[in-house]
Amino acid sequence: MTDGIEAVTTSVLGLALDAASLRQQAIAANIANADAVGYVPLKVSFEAQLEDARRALDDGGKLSADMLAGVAPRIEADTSATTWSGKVRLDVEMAKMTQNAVQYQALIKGLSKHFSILSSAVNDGKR
Amino acid sequence: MDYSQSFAISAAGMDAERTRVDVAALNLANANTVQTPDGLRYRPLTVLARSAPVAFSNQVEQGLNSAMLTLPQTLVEAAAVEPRSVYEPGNPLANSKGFVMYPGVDVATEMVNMMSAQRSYEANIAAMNATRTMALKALDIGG
Repeated sequence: MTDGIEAVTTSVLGLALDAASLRQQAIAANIANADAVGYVPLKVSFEAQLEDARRALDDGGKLSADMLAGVAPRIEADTSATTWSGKVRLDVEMAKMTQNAVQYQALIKGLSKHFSILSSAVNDGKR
Repeated sequence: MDYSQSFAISAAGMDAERTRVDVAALNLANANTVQTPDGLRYRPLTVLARSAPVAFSNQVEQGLNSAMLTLPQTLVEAAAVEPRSVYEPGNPLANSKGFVMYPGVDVATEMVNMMSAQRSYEANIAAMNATRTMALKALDIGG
């Protein structure tokens, strides 16, 4: 497929959707294990890996597919200050979950818009 | 990405919380039980929740990425609490000094445990609903 159709948008949004759905799993596991002894909360690292791509965009360059080569959402143990002494805080997890669900819907809107632009191009601008 | 895992995680969480409610209800129901059918004293139960990894075969399928995901596992054990002795000389189950040993069920603690389990159960349901919304939204791509 050509660059225009198989655009980097599709792969970036696909990766972000993967990250959001993996994050949903991590938050579900945190909530399910809220009362378990010795449980270490989980988080998903993804946005930090996009630093290179963001810098390239800031310099006015184009986002290319090879910048995304090593980017993959990963589950990690969350040892930050938001988890208080290794305990899961239900309210924080619920807030994160709501935010994640909204972000997921926004990503899907973006992907749908991208496809509708392509479809408009395919149909000579006709709806 | 596979959604069934998120549902399984939330289901395991609900299972653990239901066990806590069950045990609290059992303790409250037996608060005034002097003897169990085997002639022993009723001992209040307590729930130990630990997180254990998902079954190994599933891990191989999912790859290393989700190897860190663990599910809560509950263990019900008898709590080491002193019995509550009440002076009832007329009771046929009283000892030589006239005391009847009731189980040391702490009603306030049981109620608090039950409320906290109930709230956690609701949180698990909310997580499951969010997963469902996301899974259904994914079907809207391109539509």
